Amino acid sequence: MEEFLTIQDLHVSYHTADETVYAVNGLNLSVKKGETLGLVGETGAGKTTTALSILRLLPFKFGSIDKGSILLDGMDLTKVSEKEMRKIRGDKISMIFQDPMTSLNSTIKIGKQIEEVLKIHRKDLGKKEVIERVDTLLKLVGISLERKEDYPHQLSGGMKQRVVIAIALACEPKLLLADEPTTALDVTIQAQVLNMMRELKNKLNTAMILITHDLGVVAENCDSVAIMYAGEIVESGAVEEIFEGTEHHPYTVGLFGSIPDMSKKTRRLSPINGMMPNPADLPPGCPFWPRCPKAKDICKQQKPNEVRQGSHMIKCHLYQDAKGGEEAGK
Amino acid sequence: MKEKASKNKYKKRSQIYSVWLRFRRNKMAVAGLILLCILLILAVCAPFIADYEQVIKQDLTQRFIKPGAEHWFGTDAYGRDMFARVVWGARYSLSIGIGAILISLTIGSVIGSIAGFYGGKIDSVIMRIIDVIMAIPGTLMAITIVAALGAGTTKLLIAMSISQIPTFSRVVRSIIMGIREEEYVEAARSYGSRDRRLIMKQIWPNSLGPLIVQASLSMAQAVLTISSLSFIGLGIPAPTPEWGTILSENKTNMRLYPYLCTIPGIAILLSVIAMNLIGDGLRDALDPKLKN
Repeated sequence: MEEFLTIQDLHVSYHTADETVYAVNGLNLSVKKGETLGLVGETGAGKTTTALSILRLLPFKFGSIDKGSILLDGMDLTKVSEKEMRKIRGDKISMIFQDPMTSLNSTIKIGKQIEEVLKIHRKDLGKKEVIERVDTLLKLVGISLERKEDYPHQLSGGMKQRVVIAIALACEPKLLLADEPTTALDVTIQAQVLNMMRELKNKLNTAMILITHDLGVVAENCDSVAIMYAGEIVESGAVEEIFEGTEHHPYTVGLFGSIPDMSKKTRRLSPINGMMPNPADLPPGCPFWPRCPKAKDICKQQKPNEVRQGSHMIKCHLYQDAKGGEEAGK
Repeated sequence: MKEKASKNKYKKRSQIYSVWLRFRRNKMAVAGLILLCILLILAVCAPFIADYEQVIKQDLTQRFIKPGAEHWFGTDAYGRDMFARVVWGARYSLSIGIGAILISLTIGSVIGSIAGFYGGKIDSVIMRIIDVIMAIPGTLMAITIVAALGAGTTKLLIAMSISQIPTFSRVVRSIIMGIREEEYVEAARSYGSRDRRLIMKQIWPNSLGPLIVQASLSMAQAVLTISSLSFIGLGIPAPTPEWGTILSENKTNMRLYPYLCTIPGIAILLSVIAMNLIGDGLRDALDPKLKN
């Protein structure tokens, strides 16, 4: 399978009057055609910022892409014109937002909201064809056609998210950015929506970046995983490599450690100590060292390099010496 | 069986119908609506009620006839039937009022949308100009414009529109500023909408409710201003039966024949009250927070 989306050395920052927030710092990422990548990390790790940079939808007054490239099928999205970008949004790449309650316009009937995308990107379609397409999309996401004339407030949360998904899939995009698509839904609906997304994705052979902080969701839906911390990918690889095996980034270990284990009797959860560093004031060296149980002196001074073993990548000093030979020359 | 029957009867309520249901509960607003409808019907049917000839033709043998069976509202100093004049007056007063509001609503929406959506420098420039216009009282503004352009129906319409634009653009701007950061606007952008489409399809419809309310209240204001302008001779020139013009013509005979001024006065009063009542009723009916 070929690489469909490649992000190289991406730096994104937000500028406010009194500080500069470094949200994404040298992020490398790649997604193959039809693959699902899980992007996992704490709140504020830069997951949503990454997704917004791919669509170039950063708040234009504050956010900027400072460095790096985002290659979609060989085209650098950081360099194309705004007009080109508008053609790509919704057509080649589309996004599912976190909260279906707020990502639908409450003044427009849902059928019309799905029509909107088609009217923008499929100008050659006639009126009748657009309506037919809307009907097929609604069937696809399992909403009965009678509800087409409903306003968003007349639908339940799960149904709204289905409508949002229908909008995202209307033009059969090659890449789907799902920004915590199920966080706002309750657990039973979560499963339904995720199953549906997986089915549709396979049917349309769409690549997907699934942003979440639910490791269970990742295990069930993703082909590969990238763990994000303070604007960097600290570990990435196939699902099996992240969920199994013995060699992990201490942050990944911490993440898995904080999931309560049903088989053990414990009274307290075991979270990772400390807080994520302030992205406006990142520590030198590895951004995780202040919280890392295995921090060494070198961690405080020098940024670790990416260590690769097959598709498994770890960015930590712990593995630097042991696998010095295999170190990826970056 | 019974269940099936009731299921078939179930009809979906459209948005407009549910607004109407809430509006209906306000008795005063319904009264206002009926009143305005009567006035509008009279205005539309004016040519069938009286010939325009009859409205402006002078007949000095018929002067100052008191209201009665033959002339419902009496006749004025030139022997013209007052009922015909007042009915035709509704045509002028209401059509200019409604026209001016529609024009200023459209232009105001566009200006307000641009200012609210883009913000920053564009917003500052537009809003400072609006502030300057707002600093001048509406009537004075209209007088100035009419004085500069000259009297006449079209010119009055222009003057009224310009003096009402600031109100509408402010209403639209404030609503759009609150909505432009909403997630669904970003979502619409994420599937490739351009700014113009975003404003027209996603953002502007949200300001419809307050806009309608503002329009009905401003319309009352507009009718009043038009009549005042005509009264002081800056609106519609004399033979044309605008309410303010009728008042102005008859003011010299007010002492001896008070009905000459009270009748057009009442016409103005009723239409203004009707529009204000409708405006209040709509404000309550369109406010989602007052749904019960």
